[in-house]
Amino acid sequence: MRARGAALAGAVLGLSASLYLGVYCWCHLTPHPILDPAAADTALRWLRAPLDGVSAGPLSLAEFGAASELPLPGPLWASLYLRGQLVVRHRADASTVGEALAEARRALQASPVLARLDAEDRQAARLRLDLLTARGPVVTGVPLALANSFASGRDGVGITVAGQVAYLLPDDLIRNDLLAAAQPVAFIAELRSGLDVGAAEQALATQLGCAAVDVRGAHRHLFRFRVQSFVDSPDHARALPVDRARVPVAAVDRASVRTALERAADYAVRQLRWDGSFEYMYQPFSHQHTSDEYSLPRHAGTTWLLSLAYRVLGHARYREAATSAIDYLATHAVPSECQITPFACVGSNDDADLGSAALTSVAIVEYQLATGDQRFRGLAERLGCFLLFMQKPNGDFCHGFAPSSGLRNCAGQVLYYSGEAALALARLHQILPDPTLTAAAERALDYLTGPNYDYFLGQFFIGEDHWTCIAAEAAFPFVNKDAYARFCYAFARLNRRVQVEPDGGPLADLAGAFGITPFFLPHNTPAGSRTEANVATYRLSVLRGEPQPDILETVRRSLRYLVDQQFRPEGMYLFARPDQALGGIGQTPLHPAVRIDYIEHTASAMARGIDLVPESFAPNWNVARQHSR
Amino acid sequence: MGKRSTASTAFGIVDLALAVLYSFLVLWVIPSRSSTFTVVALAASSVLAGGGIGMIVQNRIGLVVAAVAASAMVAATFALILLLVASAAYLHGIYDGIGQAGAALAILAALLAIEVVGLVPALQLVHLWRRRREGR
Repeated sequence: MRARGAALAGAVLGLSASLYLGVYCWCHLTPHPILDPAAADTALRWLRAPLDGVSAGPLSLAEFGAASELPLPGPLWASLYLRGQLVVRHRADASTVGEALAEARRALQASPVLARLDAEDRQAARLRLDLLTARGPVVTGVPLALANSFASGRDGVGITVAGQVAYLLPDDLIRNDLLAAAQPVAFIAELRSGLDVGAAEQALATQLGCAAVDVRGAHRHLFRFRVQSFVDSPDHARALPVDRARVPVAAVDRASVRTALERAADYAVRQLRWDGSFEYMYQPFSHQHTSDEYSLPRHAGTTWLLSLAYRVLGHARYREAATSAIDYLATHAVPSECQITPFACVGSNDDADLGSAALTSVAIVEYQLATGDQRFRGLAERLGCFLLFMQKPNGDFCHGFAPSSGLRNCAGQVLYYSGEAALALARLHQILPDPTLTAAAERALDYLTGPNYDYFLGQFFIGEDHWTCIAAEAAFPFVNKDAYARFCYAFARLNRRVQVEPDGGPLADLAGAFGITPFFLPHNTPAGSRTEANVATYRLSVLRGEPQPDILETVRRSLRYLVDQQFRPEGMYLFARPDQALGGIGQTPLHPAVRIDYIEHTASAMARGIDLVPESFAPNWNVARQHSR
Repeated sequence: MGKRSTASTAFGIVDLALAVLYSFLVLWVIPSRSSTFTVVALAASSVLAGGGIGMIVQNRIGLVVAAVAASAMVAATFALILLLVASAAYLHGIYDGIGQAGAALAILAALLAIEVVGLVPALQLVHLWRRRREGR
């Protein structure tokens, strides 16, 4: 009986292992880069010659070397982007790199669209080169499996219909917002992952000149493929590797973080409108701004960033922008009912909230400390009274307030608000030395790091408590408790556990972000906010005389990630107005829409962490390896 | 076929309850866009319900139906685990890895499959086998 059981278990395990290996080998791609950086430089320069009006002879074998004779496992694409629009693309199905490049250049030369471009357009146009490096099958019979059969930003989608092959390059999927578009669970509309298969089929049908139904009929001939990609630099002198439509940053030093901070702060300044409010959302693909559902806490947070940037970089434009943005809060966001009371609130006469008042206080404190200008001190004092009024006896806060009735609403809890209030109380002490404020801040921190998690499941996780840890550091001058430090060290450890490692396999190019699975790409705002907290926690550990090197390393990795994610001049070839998008940071690595709080958190992390980055940083990872994937 | 067994009746009631629960989950709580999934899940619920009725009736045909149903559910559990293995391998191949969360979810799903789909039918088969042996 025992032998039979062991044999059965062995058979089940053997069958499972064989099945795993078989399926893995069937679908796994092993792409090999075709061009080295020097050959890519030459290839793009040579392809670009017709565009620059330079006469170029045949591709010089002496210059291009053996790369010319390299066999191609699939097509080569030359694509010309002008202000985010694809103006010309040619697919060359030749057998060697040299032949394919020659064919692509002939096509570019003959393109009537190219002939119509004026000198300015030609200078602005960016040339991209893609070479197919591998292709493989996908499961087509199960819709959920098919939608999730394409590695986001890395894989293209192809199909063979009646002997004709159509391809959608990874860039095409990103530009048309076809990724992270499928809804795997019918009843969770917010959960989106995988390819929008219907839209991809439509795009493939357009390319093939047939009906979408024909493509749907040839469903089982869908495949995925990888490309090695390069885009020419803005000055057209070099070929830059591209990964997930981004030119990656392998390492950062203090100067590059400083540049990134300056670009981000300049981006925030550009979003400032005449009345002191911000353009709330920006869509770089279409150069469109939207300001629906304007958030005052996010306005205040972005204002805080401007003062931080002024303190670190010293540019007058940040001070002016911060003045204007605080002025907006003072004149437009303090409702009339809160102008006649001893305390000030932020919101409307019907609805004011804790978070808006807290972050407005933080912004004013930072502004006054950075500039010495005390014009908003009175408002800060009245906001401080409001925060005290909103605090409950246990240290937590009521999150809502109705100015018209003067009643607090303690029923609903909004994520972040209590932590923001704790930070505000701790920071207000820096310009209003009032023991009532410090006592309130201590009560708030006692609650947030203690009773807030005093339930069974609370022993197993920590929520988004970045504000709490920023507050713990801010409170250090007047309260230093082991409980705060232990809580924030635990939060930092949790962050470290979910931080993508430099050798993090499929996500290695996103090293420094916080995520746990390649199916859902990490979001950039949490990378910023957790880094703000980690910076604060590291500083707290130093102040307590117990520096935590792991937290410092987490911060440095995140800062590389944030600089990598920022819209920089060398990338942005898919954007309509690169000059307007410069310095922005998108929602995710593949979704470039920018909301003001994305900038607030990511750039604040840079401003607060810049001096933790060595002058010259030699990282122990290398993302260049990933470019060819 | 011997005297009626309280344990068999209890298994029958549990089978019926699980069949109702699975149908409720599939049709109302976690409805799938894939009609195949819904049909397969409802078929499994029907098989389970058939086995449950057999266990309650406890005549010869009923117990045979119950044994076949329980065997089918145990086989379905193995098939489910193999599908999970294949899915994990597929995602590993596509994404060059499935990450910690992916691995944890795959193991959790396999354990849940054993516990939710396979455990009761397996215990029921053991019960029927013992009952048959004792009846000889």
